[in-house]
Amino acid sequence: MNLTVSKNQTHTPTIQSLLKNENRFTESKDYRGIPVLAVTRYIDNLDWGVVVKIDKSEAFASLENLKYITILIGILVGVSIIFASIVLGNSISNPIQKLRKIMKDVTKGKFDSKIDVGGTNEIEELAKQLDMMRFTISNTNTHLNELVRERTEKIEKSIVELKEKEEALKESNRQLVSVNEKLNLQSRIQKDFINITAHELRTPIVPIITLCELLYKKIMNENKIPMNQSKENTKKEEFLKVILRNAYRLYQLTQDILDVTKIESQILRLNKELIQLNEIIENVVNDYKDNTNRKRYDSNKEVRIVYEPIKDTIFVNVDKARIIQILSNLLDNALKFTKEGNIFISAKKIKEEQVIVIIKDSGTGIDLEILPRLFEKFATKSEEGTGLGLYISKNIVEAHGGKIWAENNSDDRGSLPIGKSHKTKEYGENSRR
Amino acid sequence: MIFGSFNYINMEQLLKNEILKELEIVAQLNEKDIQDLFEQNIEKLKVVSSRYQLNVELDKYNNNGDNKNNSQKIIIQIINSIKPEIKNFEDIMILDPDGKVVASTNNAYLDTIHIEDKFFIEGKKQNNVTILFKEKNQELKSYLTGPLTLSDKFLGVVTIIYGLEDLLSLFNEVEDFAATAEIILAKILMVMLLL
Repeated sequence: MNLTVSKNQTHTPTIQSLLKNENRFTESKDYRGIPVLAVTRYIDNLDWGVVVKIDKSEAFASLENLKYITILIGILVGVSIIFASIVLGNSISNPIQKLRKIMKDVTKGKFDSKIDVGGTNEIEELAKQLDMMRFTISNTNTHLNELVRERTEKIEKSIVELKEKEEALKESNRQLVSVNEKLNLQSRIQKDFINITAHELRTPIVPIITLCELLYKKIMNENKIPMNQSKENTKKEEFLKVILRNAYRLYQLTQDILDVTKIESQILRLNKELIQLNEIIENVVNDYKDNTNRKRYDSNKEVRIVYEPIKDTIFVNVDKARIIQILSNLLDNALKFTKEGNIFISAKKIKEEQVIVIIKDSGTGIDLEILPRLFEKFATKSEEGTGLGLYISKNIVEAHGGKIWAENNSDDRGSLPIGKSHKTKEYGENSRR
Repeated sequence: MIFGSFNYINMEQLLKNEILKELEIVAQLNEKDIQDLFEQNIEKLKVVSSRYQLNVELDKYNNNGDNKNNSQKIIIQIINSIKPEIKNFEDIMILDPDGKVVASTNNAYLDTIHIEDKFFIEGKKQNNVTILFKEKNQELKSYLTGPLTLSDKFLGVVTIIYGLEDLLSLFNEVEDFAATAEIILAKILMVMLLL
């Protein structure tokens, strides 16, 4: 067999041999392009080259086995390392996993599992510590459960007792409601009775007063004639005076009772109208200067009612009759407790929509014991009064949106200022006794 | 793995050195065997070229125009007698100074002229056993060629067509060395023997 090799293939051992290069070639390829191990010789006298070569694949065939064995060993070693890692990892992680599971149980409140997981010294020590903690928590939990159970029992017992008490309270309430209903009924019956009685009493009193006044005037006129003066007529005049005074009292009492009934039944109605306050006060004062009115009381008293009207006209939106009633009550009250001297009454604007009326007397002043409850029902020091006048006056003033109060002056003399605010006008009254 | 890799590399280096050593030994042995073989071939060539009767008859042939046929017959008888003596001698040709085959163990070569052929040109100079050629069947053969002289008088060229069985047999042993082992003989003319 013969081949021709191009002279350009200088890297081949064949060409190298012809170039007289006697050498070893370990990284060359032969004429086939296959890697070979080759040795070259040059026969000088023949001018021939000798190449002895062997394919690398065959030369290193035994090494291929070694390579496969090495790889196989490497794989085996790798697998062994992985297996050993798994075994070692499990030997470390298994106790930790067990610990984790037990601690989860502990977290859920299961304290029964004893922590005994083995493993390395550190993990075993940790397990012991955790087991001690579990034991402590378990004991504490048991103790707490016992406490909770005891408390629960107490609370349940308390709840039962409370329920019993609640039932008893409900029963008491029912009884109270029943009693209250009875009382309300009785109160309503009583109020109705008083109201009816007052009405029934007032009806006959009016003609009694009218006729008594006529009779009194007649006797007074007869007694002015000297020939008619006699001891009998004088006594008649005195008797009629007593009858009139008590008739006025009875009339006033029935009127007061009716007003109180209206106030407490919240059926007091105001018929408001725009009026001049100055004129009202002046009229009331003039009425009291009338001797007839003076005869309601002790005509021998030397008491003068002094009213100094202001220049400005004061308009107020009020129930005229009720305002007159208040002023009369206060003046009556002042007259009752003033034996001599003056009773001053004045009215003035203190702000754009506020008016104050002051009644000031020269009496002994308001008893300090009664002052705090002066405007309550039946609060009186007078043997003649019913103790309802100031109570009625206060409620009427408040129904107008005003305020009434009483105070002693520095010289221990009392005054009753009345103030009322209104959108358009204001007024006030003052009484002194 | 590192140890395995290191071990593999180390083993590969050791094995490479060992194999290269063995290849060197084979190469050295073959170099020597080839040189011995060619020296033997020189000797074989001399066996022919040194035949006195052959040279005398060739000289007569060259000078005697009338008895050329007789001299030619004698020469042919001489070379025919030599051929069996030497193994691998396939044909022997005797060429006159003009390159014409005057005698041959194979009649096909008679009267053919080879004045420009390498074996004739080289043979005129000195003994040469390195000329190779391919036959028609692509079989590689060797020419053993050298000058024929009588008392330093150049008479012509003797050329022996030589089979390379001896040479090839030198390399059979390499098959025992390895399946892929090869010995290559390369000549500067880029004709390579692959054995």
